[in-house]
Amino acid sequence: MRILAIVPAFQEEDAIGQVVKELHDAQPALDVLVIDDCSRDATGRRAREAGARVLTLPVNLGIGGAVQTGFKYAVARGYDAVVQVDGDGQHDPAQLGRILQPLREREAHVVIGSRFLDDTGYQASPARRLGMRLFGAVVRAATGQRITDTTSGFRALDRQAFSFLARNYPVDFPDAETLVLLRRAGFDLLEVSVRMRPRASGRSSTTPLRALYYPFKQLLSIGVVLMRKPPESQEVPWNR
Amino acid sequence: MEPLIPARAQAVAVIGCLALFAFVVELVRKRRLKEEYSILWIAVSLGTAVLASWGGLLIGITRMVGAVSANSVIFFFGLLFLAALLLHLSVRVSGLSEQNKDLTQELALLAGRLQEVERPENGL
Repeated sequence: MRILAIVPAFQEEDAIGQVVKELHDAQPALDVLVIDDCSRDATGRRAREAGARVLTLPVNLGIGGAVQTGFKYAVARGYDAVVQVDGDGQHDPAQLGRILQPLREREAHVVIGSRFLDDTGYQASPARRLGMRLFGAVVRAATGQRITDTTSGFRALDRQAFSFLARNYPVDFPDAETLVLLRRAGFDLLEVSVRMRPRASGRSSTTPLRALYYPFKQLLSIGVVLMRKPPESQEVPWNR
Repeated sequence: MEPLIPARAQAVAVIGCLALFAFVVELVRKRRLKEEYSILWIAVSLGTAVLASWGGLLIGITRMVGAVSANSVIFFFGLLFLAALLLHLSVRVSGLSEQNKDLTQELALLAGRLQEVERPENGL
């Protein structure tokens, strides 16, 4: 099984090298692709030095646009599965095995690394917890499936799922909306418990204004996804 | 009966509309405005010129829609037109940003591919 790690990175020169190295150490067979989202610092160079393949976006697209570039790359190169890993070091590559295992055994099309499935010691602010609970409820109402960590960016997808997302993917805040989109297209989602770390360095892309805008945009987008006809996954899901 | 619009104001309005019309045609001629978009502006400039020079038409429309004042009819349709135009532009911008995203991604993928071909020893 050929697996590609997709690492979107914007201004992460201090963390990205370590992330790439840890990925290689944890899963030597893994190909690592860093999508440099038009960083003005040395993110691309550091990633390349650490042994990753790097694609540089000529203009900043945001996390969704960057990740989708990785999906398109994986489609073009015929990978069997991809894992999304944040470029800031929050996602511990040592946990990759847990996420990939259900995919290898074809238990689901999409595996989500969750901070909340078990008590993994993750601390979030009350406002953030409230927001996450809200999304959880909305996603559950929309899909009929309980997802504890709807905003997790630590995910593994099989070829059908990432081929689908290479065609349809929300650009700005892809998290919860994508889950609804995938579920509507008939893909099976599965959560596994993972431990996450505080970000190693750099700054989160969240600003106070964006923190206010984010939940509204997410809810609107989910509403719109539900109003559209279910997208076709085009390929027949595999039999189990 | 007092004319609805004083003759001088009428002349200014008609001249203004014709100037707008000429400007739109000039923009199209210089290829700075696509014909597709110019149709709307030409229709508005000529339509307003007709309304300005033919007071009776405006009165007729006012009666037809049941409005009290001719002024409010002008403002209502003017605002309606602007709102429709802005919505149309928002739709175009959405389409363009989608195309822009796809092109950006394609460019990054091609640049990566090119680098691979030129310097295969480095990988990507």
